[in-house]
Amino acid sequence: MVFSAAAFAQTPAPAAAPSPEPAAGEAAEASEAADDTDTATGIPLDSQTQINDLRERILDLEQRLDQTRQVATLRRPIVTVGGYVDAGFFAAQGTGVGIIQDSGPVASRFFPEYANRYGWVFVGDILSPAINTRGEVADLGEFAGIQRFDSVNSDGAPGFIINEVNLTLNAALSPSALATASVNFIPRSGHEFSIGDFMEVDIAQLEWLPTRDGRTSIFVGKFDSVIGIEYRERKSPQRFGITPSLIARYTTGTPIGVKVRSKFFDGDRVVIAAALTNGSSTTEQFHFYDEIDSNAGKTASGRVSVKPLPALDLEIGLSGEWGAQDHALDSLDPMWFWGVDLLGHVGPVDIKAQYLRGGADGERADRIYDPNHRPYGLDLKHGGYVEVDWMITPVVGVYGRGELRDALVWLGNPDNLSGIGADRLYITQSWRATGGARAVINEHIVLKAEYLHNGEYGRVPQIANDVFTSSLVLIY
Amino acid sequence: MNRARNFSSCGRLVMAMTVALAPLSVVAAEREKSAAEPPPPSGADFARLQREVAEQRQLIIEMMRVEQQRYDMMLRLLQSGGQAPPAAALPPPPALPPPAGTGTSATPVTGSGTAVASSSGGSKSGERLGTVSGRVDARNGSLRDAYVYVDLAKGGSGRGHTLEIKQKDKQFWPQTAVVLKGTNVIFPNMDSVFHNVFSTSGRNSFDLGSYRSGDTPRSVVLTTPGVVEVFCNIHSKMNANILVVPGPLFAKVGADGSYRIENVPVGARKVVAWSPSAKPAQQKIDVGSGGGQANFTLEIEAGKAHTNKLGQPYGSYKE
Repeated sequence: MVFSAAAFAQTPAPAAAPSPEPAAGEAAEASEAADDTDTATGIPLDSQTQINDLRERILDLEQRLDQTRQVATLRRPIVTVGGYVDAGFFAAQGTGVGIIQDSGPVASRFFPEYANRYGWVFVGDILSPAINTRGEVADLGEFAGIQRFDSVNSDGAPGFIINEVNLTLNAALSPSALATASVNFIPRSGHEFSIGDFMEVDIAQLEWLPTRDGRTSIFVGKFDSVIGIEYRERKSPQRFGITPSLIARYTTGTPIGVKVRSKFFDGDRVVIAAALTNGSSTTEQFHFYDEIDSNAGKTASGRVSVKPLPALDLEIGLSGEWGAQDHALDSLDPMWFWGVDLLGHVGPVDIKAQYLRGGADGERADRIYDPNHRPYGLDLKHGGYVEVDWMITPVVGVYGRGELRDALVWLGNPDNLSGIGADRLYITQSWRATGGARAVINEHIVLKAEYLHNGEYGRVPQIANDVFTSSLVLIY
Repeated sequence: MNRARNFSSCGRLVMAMTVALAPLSVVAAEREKSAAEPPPPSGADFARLQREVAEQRQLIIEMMRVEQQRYDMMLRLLQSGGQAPPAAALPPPPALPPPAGTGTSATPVTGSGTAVASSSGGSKSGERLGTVSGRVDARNGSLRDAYVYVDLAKGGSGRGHTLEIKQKDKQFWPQTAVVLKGTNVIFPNMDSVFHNVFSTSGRNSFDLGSYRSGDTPRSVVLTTPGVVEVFCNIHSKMNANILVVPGPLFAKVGADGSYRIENVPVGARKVVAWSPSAKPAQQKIDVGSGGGQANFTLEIEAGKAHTNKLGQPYGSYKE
């Protein structure tokens, strides 16, 4: 801290004032004490001298303020650490399993046409009894001959769970470059003396804003997808409710590659995003995800969104994806998705809607496949949801979501000549109604509770697998 | 140590004697002069001068207080890692009598998206005044909310005045404001989501921390003339510009590009034209009794990305 010599000489009393603690009021009192006489000369201080003295002190204070600000700027951290803990309690109906096996005598099966063509036929939606924002389900079920990583494995018992512990690092490499890493720690049950906890890197990206206006971003690394809108709130602190939609498995994965996004016109009325990635935008737990490619073909995806009316806070988007099928050893068979989405805000109410279709051929009849790299087939006939979120007060909000998913997923081809056989088939004709409430205690604590009613339609029988779940998100 | 203490004691003794003897020497000197000089000022003159000096001192002390508050706030910010206390925790801005020759007015809102908090200008009796007028045009675009002000060191003060800038629908309302230095600007949050208002504009830097609708609105006293860019640390699209002017001598540029500022003291004056969408420009002109003229052509600037309060780019879809 620097003080001018003049101030020091003319004001004996506050000469020891480098500490920022003394208030100006105290300085004024000190000034009053030596009001009339200059101690050095014995000549009465005229008012102008006192004013000059005070001005000097103001200059000193300004200088100290500038220095403090400079110090504060220099001490700004390059890396900031954030994250959250997501803890919950859940209770599932029945065994908490979303599917049942279509087995038994052919005549009594729900889908007898598949009876002699696939080793296992399941009906329902394996991911519908979700208990947390990660999309983990209460139980994956026990089926002879099928090994799955059943991370929750509750067997239908209600219980507490630490859904996720997240650590997010942001590093400002320059004013126009931001590196982000997001790591999830997931504590789960061990097995046979091994620890069940696991870790997941879901974001590891560099975002570079090459233009002065900052309206174009180039991403490199492992990043959010560009399909639809749900990926924007795939993490607990951002998501209004708790569980992801039935189509989140196709759109909220974090593929590896490069991505570009540009905003155009006033108010970002048009936004275009495009990505080239190893695999699809499906989630890592799902059949199709391929983090590191096993084929040369890459996946191209993109989205165009418009805000048609400046006065209306409404965004409409069209997105699609096309690329070599994940897990395939070559790029001959494509997998694709396309969809439309809508996002609107009316005061404290948000409206979100998304519709998606997709397909992948899976194994073809005339080709030989490596048993360790068998591509899944997909026929997503319809998938979509409509969600309304309403913050009734700044603290309390409610939400509701209605959705459906009509899809076939299979592994293997009954007509394949290589003889490895048709492994399994999932038949889904599901709808779901979700209602919930949230309380934003403060910016660091959010409490949510929701109920999912899972229903089936068509020839798929009703499966008792409703879920009540809750989530306490502690954001730091 | 003891020697220093003794020296200090001696110093205090000398100081006390000096204080005691000083009035006598002044009286003696005055007696010697009195015979040769014109009649001394009356007691009323002394009283008036003393009052004026006291007012000036009070003004300066209050300025120091405000600066000290800002300095303390900066220190607290540093210590707390950027979380500012609510406005209620800060002492209210001092309510001072307006400087001689100036009155105060309410806080009118002029046009959509722009607010002006001002003290109406006046003049000290006997001061020669003129009118500054001219035009402000734009290059490479059209101007939005342009203002012209006279950069006069001694001017009015906005102390005791408050301007409200709301946060609603993830925007600031108004998005452009002009205030006198010393004005208290309060930022109520009308949204159900949190906002985090901050500025890194030089000496007017501030950080109000996070709060939402229903929380006590936080505020800042803007003491230094200049442009204050205000942002939200959570929502990158939220942006407001506040022009802090040194005195009441300013005017909004009309739709036809013309402006007019009255009651400008004659002499060499710096005139500044500003718009949030353009690079500011300034001119030095001589203002005579007949007035002065200053024409400007402002260069429209393309929008520039801003960083968050830590100097980092905003991440994707944080809003």
